[in-house]
Amino acid sequence: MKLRIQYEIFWEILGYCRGAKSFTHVINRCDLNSKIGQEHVDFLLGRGYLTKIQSEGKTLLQTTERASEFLVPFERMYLELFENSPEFKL
Amino acid sequence: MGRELGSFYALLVINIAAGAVAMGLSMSYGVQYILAAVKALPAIGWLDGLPLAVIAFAVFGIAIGWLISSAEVFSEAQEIRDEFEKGGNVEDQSPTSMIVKTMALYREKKSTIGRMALVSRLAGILLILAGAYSLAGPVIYGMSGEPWMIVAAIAMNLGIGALALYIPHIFSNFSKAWDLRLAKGEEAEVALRRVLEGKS
Repeated sequence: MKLRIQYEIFWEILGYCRGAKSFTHVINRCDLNSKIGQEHVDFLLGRGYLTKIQSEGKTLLQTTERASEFLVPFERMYLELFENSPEFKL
Repeated sequence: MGRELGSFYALLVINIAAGAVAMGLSMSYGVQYILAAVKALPAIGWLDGLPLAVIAFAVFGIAIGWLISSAEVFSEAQEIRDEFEKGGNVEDQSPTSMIVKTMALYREKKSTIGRMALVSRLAGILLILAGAYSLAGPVIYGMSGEPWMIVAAIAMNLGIGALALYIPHIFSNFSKAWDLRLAKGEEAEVALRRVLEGKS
């Protein structure tokens, strides 16, 4: 999947990390290279939307409760894009 | 949302079918004109019908491009639909996930979709011209050969031509709906930036 905007990538990372995931899983799942993936993950860690946890000797990324301040308006706004615009039909 | 993606999916199937028929018709016309021109060469001394053969082969090339573009977009739309309908992850099956993926697909393929509409219009005009040309012969000189075959060929040209001219209209409706969403999406981006900056 290409041509996503930054906020869509944030939303995907946060959605995927609801269950704790490794950085490698995140970049594979979200189709990001490691540099871009690291920048996004660092930003989300800085905002407190992601946290690092240790599990079986591995560092995993986990979405925090605080992320809902971004996830909730994001999902509402994107659903409104469809609800408030004419539907394409054949 | 699923229904809308289904409509887009159906539009792409129509494009693939119309592109394949346009490809078949143009190839058949091209070969037919070339053979007739070569056969008549000793008698008239020049390749009569060569421009028509060139046009037919040009349509063939355009139809191949049309078919490939349609198949590419179809494949990506199918991937989104499959993930939504039978994706292994809960996130893949949420309406927001489908919206995000479809918006990304539209952003990526916007110029291809515009090109497909243009190619479809061009193929439609050429097929209608070919149909009119096929019609002119029997009208001016009378029918030679099996009348039903001539009528079927003309009807097929005109029918596929009309469909090819109608497809850009559907694409235009599709683009209108999505351009509006992308514009509204830009407003949403401003609001999301404020959230991330902690200003909301």
